[in-house]
Amino acid sequence: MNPVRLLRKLAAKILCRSKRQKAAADKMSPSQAVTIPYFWAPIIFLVLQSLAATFGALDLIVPDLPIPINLETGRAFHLNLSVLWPLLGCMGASYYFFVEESKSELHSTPLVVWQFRLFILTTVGILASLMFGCLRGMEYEEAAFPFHLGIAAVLVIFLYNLLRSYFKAAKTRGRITLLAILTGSILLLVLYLPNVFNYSQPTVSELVRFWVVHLWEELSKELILFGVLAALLLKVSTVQRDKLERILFVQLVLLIIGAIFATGHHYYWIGVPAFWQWIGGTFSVIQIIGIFLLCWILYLGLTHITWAEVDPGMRLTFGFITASVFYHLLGAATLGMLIAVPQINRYCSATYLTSAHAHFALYGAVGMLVQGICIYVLTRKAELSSKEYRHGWWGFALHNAGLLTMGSALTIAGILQTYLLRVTGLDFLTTSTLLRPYLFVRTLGGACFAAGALLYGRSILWCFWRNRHQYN
Amino acid sequence: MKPAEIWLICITLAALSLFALLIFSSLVRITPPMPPAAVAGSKLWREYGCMECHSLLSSGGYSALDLTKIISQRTEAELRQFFAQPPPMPPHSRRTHVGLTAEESEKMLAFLRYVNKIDTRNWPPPPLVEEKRSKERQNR
Repeated sequence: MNPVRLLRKLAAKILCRSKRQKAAADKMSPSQAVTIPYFWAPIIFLVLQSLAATFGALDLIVPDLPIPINLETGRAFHLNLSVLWPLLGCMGASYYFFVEESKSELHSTPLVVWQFRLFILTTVGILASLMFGCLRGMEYEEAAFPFHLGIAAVLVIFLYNLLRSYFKAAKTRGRITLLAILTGSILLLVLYLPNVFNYSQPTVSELVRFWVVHLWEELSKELILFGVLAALLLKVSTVQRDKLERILFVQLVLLIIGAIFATGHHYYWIGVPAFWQWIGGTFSVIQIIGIFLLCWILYLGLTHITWAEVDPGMRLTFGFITASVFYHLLGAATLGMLIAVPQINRYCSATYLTSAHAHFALYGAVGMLVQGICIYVLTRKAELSSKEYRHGWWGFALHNAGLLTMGSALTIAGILQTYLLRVTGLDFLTTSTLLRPYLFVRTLGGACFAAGALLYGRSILWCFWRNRHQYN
Repeated sequence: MKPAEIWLICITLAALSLFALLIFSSLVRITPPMPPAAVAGSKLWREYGCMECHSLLSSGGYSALDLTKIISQRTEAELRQFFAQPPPMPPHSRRTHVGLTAEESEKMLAFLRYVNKIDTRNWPPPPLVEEKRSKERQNR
């Protein structure tokens, strides 16, 4: 079949509300009901993060803007949140779909509640300590020491609860979806622990930092999210378990091998031996094969769903999931692969191209998937009204238009910066002045992105709030 | 144990062990040892959040100059002067760069001197145009 026609048909099916659709009235087990806060909090954090980032972007281009927070604090605030709320969403999604797949309750529901409280306390603590200027020179992981222990404690509780639940559910042991979630959770903790400490030697600090900045995003969270996505598709579509699990297993193996060694693409110029250039470059290619498998999984899912019976919340969810796969292809595979080639990276690293890649791959690929899952769970017992549904899609459209504008402006700024600084040898200040128009477009994109998040976030959260009694 | 469990555990452990081995072989080759003044400077570098704007060893912020080889690019007197009387940061005309005391700036310089010695495989690269010109000169 003509791929364009296929895409159009699919889009029409996903977007159009049908009269035959069932109201969302899924059964929710007691263990699943306690995970609900894990899904509204990430939406609130995203809105907060995108608003803060818009002001930060303005501060870079408007002379003497009276902003009470200085740039380094604001940027740390933005970067820390970009790691923390997807983590919260991933943990919630793990619990929710673990119950779904293992067909049994979690080991302990009070632990789920306490883990959430500890996480929120730690996150608020981190953000507050940043306001007092507690920095430690590790991008994405800035915070005072006790808060690192807080995050580590959250991860220990999470892993303990999941492991106990896994061994309790004897019948479903060995399911690939469960194993994906479990492997991801183990790696979350293992990779985080060395990051609790500070390292004064800059090379060592960089070596360790990327176990969170790279491996959390491209390995642990992806393992969890692919497991969750497969579990979701097994629940809502007619795709065969055997087939999906086989693809998922191959994907997991590729992901584990590819992502672990592709960490090398962050190590090219930090003062380590040259073999990292070979390793980083080669394994970045293997990572991409995993992304093609993700496309296949999504295709199988979308074509095996009876769209006429699908509720509005799930339609919106699939919008986000499809967008996430698109950004996987654009930001992670295409842009990521290009800048991972050592010869290209030599000229373009530490320019706005890295920033463009981070926005597409960190938010576009991982964040969007988390947001999609959050929307799915929050609309299980609450039916979106037609106005909320419409606002949801408008928000989604604005959000994506914003992200694309922001990413494209940063890409152009990055290419220009590379050319001016590293090819022609223009000085830094003149280059920065020439880049200002693109940073202005980036700010507009950011504002659009934030407005979109606000619009769909408000619809989903309001719908959830109206029906909150149903979750108890 | 289920076969899928065994396979996943083996693959993950094998990949992680090999990765750890590579990391270890990189760690033992890190030279030269860091002098105490550089360690103190590193603490300052981290606590002032310099990395949020500047890049070092190819990562960090994008809005200010890369400082990996700054010691080879500016004189130390210039840098001391910069820390003592920090200039405004464009596009701002009033907001200035963070200033350092004389003691702090010595520590920071010790740290930057140390970073300058790290073998970054010729990163940041000299501008491509200059690189080509110098190659042509050599050929002649």
